[in-house]
Amino acid sequence: MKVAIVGIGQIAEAHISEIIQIPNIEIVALVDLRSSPLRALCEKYDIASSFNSCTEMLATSKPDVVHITTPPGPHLSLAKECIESGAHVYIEKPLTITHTEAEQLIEFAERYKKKVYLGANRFFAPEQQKALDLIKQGSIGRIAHIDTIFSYDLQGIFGRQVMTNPKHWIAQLPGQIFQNNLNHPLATIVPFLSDDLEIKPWAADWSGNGVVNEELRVSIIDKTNHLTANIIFTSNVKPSVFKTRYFGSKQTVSIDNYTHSYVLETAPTLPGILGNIFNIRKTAKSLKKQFWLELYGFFFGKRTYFSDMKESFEHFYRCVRNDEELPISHKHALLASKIMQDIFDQIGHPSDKGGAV
Amino acid sequence: MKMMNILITGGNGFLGRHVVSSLLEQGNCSVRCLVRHGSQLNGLPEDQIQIVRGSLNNPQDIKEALKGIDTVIHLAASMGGSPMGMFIETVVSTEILMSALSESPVDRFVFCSSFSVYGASELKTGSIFDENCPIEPNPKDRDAYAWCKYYQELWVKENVHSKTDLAIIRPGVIYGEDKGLLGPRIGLRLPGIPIFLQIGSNARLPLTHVQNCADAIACAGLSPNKPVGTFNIVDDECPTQKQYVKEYEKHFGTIPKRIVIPYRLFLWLSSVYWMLHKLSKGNLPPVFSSYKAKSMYRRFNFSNQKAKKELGWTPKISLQDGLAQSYQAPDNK
Repeated sequence: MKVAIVGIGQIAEAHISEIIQIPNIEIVALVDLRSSPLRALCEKYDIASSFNSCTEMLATSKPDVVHITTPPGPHLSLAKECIESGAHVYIEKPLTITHTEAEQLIEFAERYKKKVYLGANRFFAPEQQKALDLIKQGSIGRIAHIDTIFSYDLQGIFGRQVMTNPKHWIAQLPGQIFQNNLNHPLATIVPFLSDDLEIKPWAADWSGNGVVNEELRVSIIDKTNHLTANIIFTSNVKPSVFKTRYFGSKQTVSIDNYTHSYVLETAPTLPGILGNIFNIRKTAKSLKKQFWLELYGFFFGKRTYFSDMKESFEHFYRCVRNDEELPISHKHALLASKIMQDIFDQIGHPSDKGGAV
Repeated sequence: MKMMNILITGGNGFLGRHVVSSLLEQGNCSVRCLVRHGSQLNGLPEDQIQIVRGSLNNPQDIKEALKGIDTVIHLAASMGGSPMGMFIETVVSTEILMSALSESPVDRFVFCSSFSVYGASELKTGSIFDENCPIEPNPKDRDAYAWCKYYQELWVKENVHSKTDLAIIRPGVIYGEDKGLLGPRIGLRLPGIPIFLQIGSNARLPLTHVQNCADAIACAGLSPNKPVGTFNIVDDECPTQKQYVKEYEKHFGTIPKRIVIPYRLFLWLSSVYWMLHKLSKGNLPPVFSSYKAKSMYRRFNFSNQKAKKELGWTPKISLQDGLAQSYQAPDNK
């Protein structure tokens, strides 16, 4: 399968380094408006061709799949061009700037019988997949509530650039830093939601930087599935966190996307306080096993920082090859974009009303 | 003599601030600094220079900053973050700058490169290390900073306008104030382990005090001889690691828990570490390799003759004075 990558920014090298590990996949071309990153990455990874124009690349390299890793502004136009040329597209989150654009894109892809895949790679982390397996097997019971907390370090090198520059492309997105990151926590919730939703967001610019909102809280009420969910997006906590907790009618499962661990909380099997104490032991034993597996994975390269991205690509390529339903389906990608649009319409910009809704 | 209008990128950085003061001291020039929105000025004298806010990744900001400029001193480079993040901040911004300069060329372009572009592992121990040292043949095997500086310099050389005089400054290890005093060429502090591992004793250190280096860059910008070419910048004294540590301890006191690892042992440990790095598919970061060890911890004889002769530069601050000044820096006392 021939793959091309359009947009050689921060995340593109992660895509390249994971794709080259997948058998029978060849990166045939890179595309960017700037030539220096094309040259450096083509030399580093022995990639044959590079182009400053996507149109030229599509005509020359004829890829089966195009990864679009540009900022989201041109996602819709680039994806349509790739689809029209006969390629399936993998789009780095967020899918598009607006929900209307997302609808246009999915409708266009389905008309051409092509797949559009929303890249929210953390959905493929093993602990997330473990939780989804437990839910699928019925071990958790009926999901009543989902809590997810995601943090973003605005004091990091990239975060500071966004916060200090109102012209930065992230600062200019309707949903700013939330729009560039919310697909990760949303991917953990969306598979369980209907489209009969009530969404209540709150956002604030606590530091008063005036450029971006830093804090977001969202309550989601699913009136059809009788399910609620909370999203906490914070830029003011240390250490970085991405945790999700599924509360079920039988058990609760908590996953930690940073330590790559999960904890299953079960009803005590022994009576009273003793039962609760023995549950601590059960959790400790489970975590001890996960620790050794993670350590083994670290030293033998079984798990790397972006290995969930590789999993995501492998799923996508398999679905393309076998014409199967995508793990993050068009329907789920659209629902995520609809929820995001609803949130951003309500919270506004930090300069509006001091930033809080 | 005509007053020079100089634009400096990275002027509010560690080296940049000293370049600004050296220019103001040395020359008949007007200085403009392009500083990113929201960045601190770090003591730049706003009353003596012009500050233009903007990003090197924004072509419009660069065009504005270049208006009326005849000399550019390009110091800006990213020192941390992900490799592609550093590349965008260092090389892509240079591509945008060179592209703007191809439309409106300047008379002089002084570019601050680095010793990291050299492939010193190719040299024999004891060789003269000057501007003829070969360029790194395997930039992809080096750390992110060296990779970025390699392509940044390449881009400048290949895209400089034919009407522009290009001077490439390659500084060794810049030290001063609270920076670079116990850098990786001397040794390492491993995270979570309260010891200082000194790697070898006899390698010479290509040190240059930040003020000396800034003076060399200012000379390259202001010299009426319009020097063209590449210039290595190291101070006259290039002490061995042992001599440096002795001088350092005179000012700062004994380095606690210092352990000296012989070069040969470190070379072997680096080879083992590199195998583990490969086995872990990069989970163990590529901080040690025998390739890097051969570049950094063998003895070479660094030369600054070309810079002294053609730039008319003299390093004024000795190692002893440089360390004494550093000791006076508020963060070090």
